[in-house]
Amino acid sequence: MTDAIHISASLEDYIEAIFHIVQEKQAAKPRDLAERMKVAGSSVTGALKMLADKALINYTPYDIITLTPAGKAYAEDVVRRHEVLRDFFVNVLAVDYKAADEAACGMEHSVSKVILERLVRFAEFVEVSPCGGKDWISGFRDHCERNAIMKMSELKPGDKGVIAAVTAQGEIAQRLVDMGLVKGTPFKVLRKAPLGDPLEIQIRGFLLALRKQEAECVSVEKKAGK
Amino acid sequence: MKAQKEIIVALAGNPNSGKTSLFNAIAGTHLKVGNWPGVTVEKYEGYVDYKEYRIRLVDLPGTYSINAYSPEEIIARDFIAGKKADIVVNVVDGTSLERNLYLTTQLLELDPKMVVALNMYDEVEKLKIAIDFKMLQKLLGSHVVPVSAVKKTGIEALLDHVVRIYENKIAVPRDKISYSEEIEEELTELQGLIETDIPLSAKFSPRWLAVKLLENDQFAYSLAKESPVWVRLENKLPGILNTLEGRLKERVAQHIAEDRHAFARGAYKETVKTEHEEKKTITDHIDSVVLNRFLGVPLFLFIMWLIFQITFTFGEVPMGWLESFFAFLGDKVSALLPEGVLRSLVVDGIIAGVGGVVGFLPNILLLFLGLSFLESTGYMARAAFVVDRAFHKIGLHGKSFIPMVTGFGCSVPAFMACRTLKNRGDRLATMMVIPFMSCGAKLPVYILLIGAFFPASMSANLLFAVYMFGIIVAVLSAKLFKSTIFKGRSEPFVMELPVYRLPTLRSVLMQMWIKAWMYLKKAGTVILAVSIVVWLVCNFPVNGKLNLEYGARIEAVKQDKKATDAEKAEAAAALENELAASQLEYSFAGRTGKVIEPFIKPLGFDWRLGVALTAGFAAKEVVVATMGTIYALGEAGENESLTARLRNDPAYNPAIALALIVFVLLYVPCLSATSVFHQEGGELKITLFYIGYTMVTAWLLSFAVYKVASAFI
Repeated sequence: MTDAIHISASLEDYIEAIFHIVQEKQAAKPRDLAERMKVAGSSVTGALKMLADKALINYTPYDIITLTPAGKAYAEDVVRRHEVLRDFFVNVLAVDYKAADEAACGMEHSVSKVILERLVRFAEFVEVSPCGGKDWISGFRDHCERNAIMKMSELKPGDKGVIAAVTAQGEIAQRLVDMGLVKGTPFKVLRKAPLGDPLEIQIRGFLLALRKQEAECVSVEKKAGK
Repeated sequence: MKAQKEIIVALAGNPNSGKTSLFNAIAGTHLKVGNWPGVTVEKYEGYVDYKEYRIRLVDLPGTYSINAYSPEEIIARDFIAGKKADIVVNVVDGTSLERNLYLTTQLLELDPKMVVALNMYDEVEKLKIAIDFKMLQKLLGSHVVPVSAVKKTGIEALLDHVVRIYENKIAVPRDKISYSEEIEEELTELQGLIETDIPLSAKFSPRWLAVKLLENDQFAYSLAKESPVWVRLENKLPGILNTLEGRLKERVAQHIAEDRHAFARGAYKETVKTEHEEKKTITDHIDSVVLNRFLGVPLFLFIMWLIFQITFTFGEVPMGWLESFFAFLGDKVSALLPEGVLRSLVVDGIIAGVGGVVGFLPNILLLFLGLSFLESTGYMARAAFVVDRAFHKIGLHGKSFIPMVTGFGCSVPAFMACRTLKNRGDRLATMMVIPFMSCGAKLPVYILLIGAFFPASMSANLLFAVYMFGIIVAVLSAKLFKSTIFKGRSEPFVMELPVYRLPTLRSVLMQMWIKAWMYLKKAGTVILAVSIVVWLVCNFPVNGKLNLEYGARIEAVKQDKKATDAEKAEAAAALENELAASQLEYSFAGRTGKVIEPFIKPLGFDWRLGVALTAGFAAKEVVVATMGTIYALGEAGENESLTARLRNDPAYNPAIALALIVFVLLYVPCLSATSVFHQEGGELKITLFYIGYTMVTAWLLSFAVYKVASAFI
C-alpha cells in the first residue's frame, strides 16, 4: 500500500519526474532524469538506489528505469496533488499558470489527503454555489489585479494605475483635481525627467508633468503587469 | 457711415488649446496688447467687422478650470460671471477633448450665451478622430463649430454663429450638468432660495451660485452675504454641507469636481471615436529622445547654446547697421541744428541714448524669436521639466529658467517673463536673481577692462569666469531668499506637456513682435526720459568761466599761423576733449563722483570710476561711454586708445579691474530694468530691497575680490 510508504520530498520529486518521463518515452534513463531535475548524475544514482530499496522502481545500473506498480501508484498520487493545487491556484485564486505550477511543486509534498479533497470540493462548490459562480471568481481576479493602494510617486516608468484619491489640501489638491486627477481615472507613468525628478504621466489623453512631492499626495491602485 | 453695433466676445479655453492662434486668425491685424488691471497678466484685445457688426474679441487667460485659485482664473470668472461679454466662445482642442470639456462644464454653469469652437479640426481629421457633433451639441446644450486656426477654416461659420446667437436666432436647448443625486437635492433647495432674490438672480446664474456655495467659494459667499436671503442661507448651509459630507464620505467640492470630470468623460466617450487608442505618436518619439535620461540634459544645454549663438552672431550685423544709422542721424541733426544746448540735448542725449537701446533690438528680436519658437513647438515645457530638479534644489521653479536665460540678453524682458510663475514668492525670488545673470550691455565693460589689463590668451577664460561668477551668486542668492524672506511653499510643479506642433511662421513672428514691442515701449519710454536726465546731470551746471577760457585757447590754436591745418584740428580737438572732461568734473555727475569717492575707495576706485558707475545706472553700456568722456577721449567708440590709456594710468591695476568687473556684474541694473522690476514686483518696498541687495552684494564681493587679487597680483 502506498499509504504505508513515506519518502522524502526530494524523492517524491524524483518519482514524479520518472513518472513523466516514462509517460513520454516508456522508459527513463538516469541521464534524462539528471537533465530534467537539473542535478548531477551522481546524485541521481543515490536517489535511484533509495527508490529501488523501497521497491518503487526497477533499477539496475546502466539499465533503463521503470516504475513498479507500487511506484506507479505513489507517483500518480504526487502528480494528482500537484495538479489539484495548481488548478486551485489558477482557477480559484487567479494566479498565473507558471507561478501556480512552481508553488504547487513546493506544496505538493506536505498537503494531506483531507485538505486536498477539501480544496477540490471547494473549487466545485464555488462554481455551482448560487452566490459564487464564474462571475464571482472573475470579480476576485479583478480585485487581485489591483494591487494595494500606493503613492503615485512609488510607481515606475511603464506602470499603469488608477487614481484612488488626492490626499493633498488646498491649492495643490485643486490643481491636481483640475488637471483631471480624480478617483477612478486611469493613467500611465511614462518617464522620469533626466535628473530624476518630475515625472510624466499620461492621463485623460494628455501628458502631465508633476514633481515627486506632488505625486506623493496622490494615492493610486497599481495595475498588475505592464 | 452707418453706426455699427458691437458684440463683445470673450475667448475662453485651456492653455495650449490654440486660443491665441484663433484670436490672431480672427483679429490678427487689429491687435491691442495690454494688462488686466492690477495683475501682471497680459490682456489681448482685437476686433473684426462682420456683417453689420463690429465683433470685439477679448482673449481671456488660458485656464484649466475656474476655481479662483490664480489671477488668471479670477479674471476669466469675473469677466464671464459679471456678464461683461455678450457671447463666450469656448475654444477647445479637438484632439484632447476629454480634458478640454472639463472647463466647458464650468463655463456652461455660468450660463452665458456660448458657442464651442472645436479647434485644431484639421488635426482631428488627420488623426481620423470621428466626432458626433449633433450628440455633443445636445449633451453640452451649446453649438459646436469645427474650426482650425492654423488652416483658417471654419472661422466664417464661427462668426456667423456668434452673430446669430447674439440676435437670438439660434439656440440649443440647454441641459444642465447633473451632479450626483445627493448634491442635486441640496442644489434645488439652495437654488430656490437664491431665486427669491430677483436682482441677484438676474446678475448671476442662481444654479451657479448654488454650486459655488457648496464648493465653499469665497466669491459666491461674498455675493450671497450682501443678499437679503443670506439670513436664511446662513442657517441652512452648514447643515447642508454636513449632511452631504456624511453621505458622500468626502469633501463636497471634491465630489463636485469628480462629477464634472465624469460628465466630461461621458460626453467624450459618447461622441468621440478614435481608431488607435495606444498608438505611439510623434510626440512620444520626440520625447523619447528629448527627455532621454542621458540625452535630455545635453540636448537642453545645446539648444540654449544655439539660441545664444544665433542671438549674438546673427544679431551683430543688423546691430552694426543700427549703430551706423544712429551715428548718421546724429551727424545729420548736428548739421541741421545750430551749435548749443539744444543740439547737445538732441544729439548727445536723445539720439545717443535711445540709439543705445534700440541698437539692442536685433538681439532682442532674435532672442524672442528663438524663445517663441521653443514655446510654440512645445519644447519650453519640456525644458522646464528637464531642469526642474536642479532649480527646485536652489529653491526656484523649473519655469524660472526661461526668465533667467533671457536675463543674459536683457533684464527687461527677463523680468516680464517671470509672469509665467504664478507663485509670488517664486516669482520675486527669480526676479531678484536675474540682475546677476550678466546682461548683454555689460559685455563691452568686461571687454574693455579685460583687454586693458590681461593678456589676450586669458581673455576668453576670464570672460567665461565672469559669467559663471554671476550664475553662482544668483544660485546662492536664490537659496538665501527662499530660506529667508520668500519662505513658504513654492509653486507646485503640475504642468501639461503639450503635444509637439510645428508652429506657423506667422504665429511665431507675431509672438516675437508682441514681446519685442512691449520691450521697445517700456524700455523706450523710460530710456528716453533717462537719457535726458543723464545728459542734464553730465552737462549742468555749465562752467561758464571754463568755457570762455577754452574757447579762447581753441580760437588761438586755430589762428596759429605756423601749424598746418591738420595740426590745428588735432590740437583743437585735444583742447575740446580736455574741456569736456573738466566740464564733466564740474557737472552734477562729476560732483556725485566726488561725493561717493569715499564709499568706493576701499574697492580701489577713484572719483572718475564713481562717475562712470553712477552713469551706469542709466544703462550699463554708458559705463564705457562715460569712461571715454572722462578720459578726455571724446568718442566712446575708440576703445583701443581708451584701453591703452587705462593700461598706462598709474592709478589702475589688474586688481582694480577685477573689482570693477565684479561690481559692474552685480550692481543694480539699469534704470529701465529697475522700473520694469518695480512694475512687475508691484511694491516699493521690494524694489528698494532689490536695489539695496544688489548694491551691498556688489560692494562686498567687489571688496573681497580686490583684496584677494591685490594680494596675488
